[in-house]
Amino acid sequence: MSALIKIAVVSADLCSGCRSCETWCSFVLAKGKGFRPEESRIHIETDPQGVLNIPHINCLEECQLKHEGDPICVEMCPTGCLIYTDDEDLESKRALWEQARQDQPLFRLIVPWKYPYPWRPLKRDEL
Amino acid sequence: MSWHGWAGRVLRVDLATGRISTEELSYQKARDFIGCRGLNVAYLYDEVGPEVGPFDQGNKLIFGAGPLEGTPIGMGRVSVLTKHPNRFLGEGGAGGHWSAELKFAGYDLLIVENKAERPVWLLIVDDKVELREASHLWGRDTKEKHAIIREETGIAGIHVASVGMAGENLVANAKVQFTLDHSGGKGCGTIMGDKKLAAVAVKGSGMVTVAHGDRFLAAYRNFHKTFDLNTTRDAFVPSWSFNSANMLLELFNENGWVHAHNAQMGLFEPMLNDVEYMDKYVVRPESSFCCPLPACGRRFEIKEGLFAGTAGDEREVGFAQAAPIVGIQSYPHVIKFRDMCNRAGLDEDQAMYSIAWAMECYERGIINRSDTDGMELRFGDADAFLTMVDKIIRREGFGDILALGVAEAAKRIGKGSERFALSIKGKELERMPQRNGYQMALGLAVSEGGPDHTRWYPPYPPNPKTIPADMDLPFDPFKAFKTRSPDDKGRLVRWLYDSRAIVESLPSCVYMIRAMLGIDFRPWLELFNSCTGEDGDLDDFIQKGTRIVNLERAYIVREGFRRADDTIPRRMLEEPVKEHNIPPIGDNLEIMKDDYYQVRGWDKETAIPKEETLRGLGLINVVEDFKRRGIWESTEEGGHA
Repeated sequence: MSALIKIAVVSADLCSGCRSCETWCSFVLAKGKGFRPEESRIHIETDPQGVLNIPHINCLEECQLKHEGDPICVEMCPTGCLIYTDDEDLESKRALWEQARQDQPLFRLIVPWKYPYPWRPLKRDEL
Repeated sequence: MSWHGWAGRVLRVDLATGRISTEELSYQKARDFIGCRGLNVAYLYDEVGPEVGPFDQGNKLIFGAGPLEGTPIGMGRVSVLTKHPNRFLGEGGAGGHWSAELKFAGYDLLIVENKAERPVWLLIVDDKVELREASHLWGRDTKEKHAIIREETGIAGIHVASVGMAGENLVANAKVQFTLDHSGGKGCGTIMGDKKLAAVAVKGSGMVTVAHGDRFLAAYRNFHKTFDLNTTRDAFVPSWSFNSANMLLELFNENGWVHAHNAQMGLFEPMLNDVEYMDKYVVRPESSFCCPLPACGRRFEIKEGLFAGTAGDEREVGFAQAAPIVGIQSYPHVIKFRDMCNRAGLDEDQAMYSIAWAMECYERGIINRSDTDGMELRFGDADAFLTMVDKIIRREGFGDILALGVAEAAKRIGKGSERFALSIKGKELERMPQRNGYQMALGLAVSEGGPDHTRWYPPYPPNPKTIPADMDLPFDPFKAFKTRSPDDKGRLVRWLYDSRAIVESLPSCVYMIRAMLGIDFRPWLELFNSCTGEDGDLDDFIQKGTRIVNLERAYIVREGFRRADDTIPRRMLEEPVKEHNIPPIGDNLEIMKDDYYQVRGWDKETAIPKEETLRGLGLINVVEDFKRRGIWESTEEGGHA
């Protein structure tokens, strides 16, 4: 197992196709001058019927675009589909997610380690 | 000048001559009206006057992105605007990615003029813009149109706005359908069909520039905290993400908000609970451009049995609201209904309320089999419902009458059926409760674009106790948020309208109005200023919203709309919600309207903005226009409702 840390996809089934990763990556690449997903190191391919979104990652080395902690694409990924870790951890996270979505259908939509369930209970009077 | 946020360019396409041109965006308009919804109406007011009929050559169809579109705040929101077939503002927003692509291609606005003789479609790839012949697209559904265009251009990431058969057949209120089940602009699809514009496909590769990158990133991170499931204090963040519209139906039932059986009843038993629903139909998340909610959009699939293979995007329309109105208890039918509407570009509200009206008329004996092509039309008959939806799309038999819209259909049928037609300004209602949420009744009544809850969203106010005491609000939350009372609703609805006009003009998605983001507009101002390089203060920012709404009002006033048109269906005014002992609204609506027009600076008798109000907002062109046309002297009383 390699200990190299990289940006990886837990599963294409978790990608909502929002392109936050593309958009924010391009912003950091452009040193904050603007957004241009075309230039991003990550691209989301969506088929026309919307059946699947496939993230393509073209980072050649360890991400140099980190802010604090995670690279910005991982930070802004709303479902937790993207993670920044090594191969060993990636495999264990994938197994964890497979189990979680069997147990609780809402984990078809998000990863359990990003949003541990149940969330803070909301009281009626907070509505 | 050098633009940040805004692309600074307007694209014009004349379908009659095929002429394509670009022009510099007016900075004064951009500063005064922001973008998207606001800029659209600024251009429409100047270019499409009351002498132009909705189906005339001179009516225009405008697609607007805004300064923050293409940044992660924009969320792919587009606003489409035209003069609606009923002459009010045919405006609607939609999500997806189309609008972001328009910005990356380098345009803030696309203005479509005149009509084509034969069907055409428009391709925009950065500076390459061309009209192409579209006979092979005409008559195809919206998903087929997208697939064909993608194949023909070879561009995988192309996004398409198109009309379906409803728009092509000039069904009233047809919508424009965007890629991946996003749709909007009721009536815009009808005008797009009339112009024989089959589709607009966009792909851009440019940059949306930001004036102060560090400030923008910091403001975004702050904004983003509201949507973190771990910390949010807004119950609708997890709800929108996971609990599905089924959860909404439970809430609606509890509060008598359901419009069951054409709003005759306020209760409707849901068939599935949330977990079952999720387990059975939802397969994965599906999202608009940079939406921070993990799964506000979800892809569903019917895996087996009836309508197996039907798939698409699920949101509130299907489960919480469509089913009760026509009394359907079958989820596959509701999912199929949603899919039919998206493929045809048919407005769901029109289909639901016009068929529900027909069902009520049938059950009351006002119409019979001789009117309905021999069909039994009763609440709860899911097959009959879908058959009738298809007839509307194709304009066959009785469907041809319903295709006119429920108000017009009721006029044709007569015999007292008008009473059961739930419409405002001639446009079908939305699934919004009114008798137990007076702010919603007022909000729907005074809308310049027919019933549209996104103009004052969200309909459920936060708990006043959660609002910081030092917040300087233009209304008293303890009074204004008391839902079954007319107190302070004028100031509340004015605030909701003005602030939401800003969000829809930046643009961003009104679903982002969560927790304090609907109350405190400083975070929005910082995002706008850091992106565009503007430096206005909060008062100036809020005034932009006020200006947009006043211009929208001025537009429909110029078309002849008056106070009498700002109303809600008789059922809401005169009938109670029996199951919940909720009384009808009665005179409270007129009390709230008095209040609203007064805080707006509009004449109470006519709902026309006063000269000093327009001058105070810098709408000098409107003052001059009104004087020239004698609007303040006219004795017109409206009567479009």
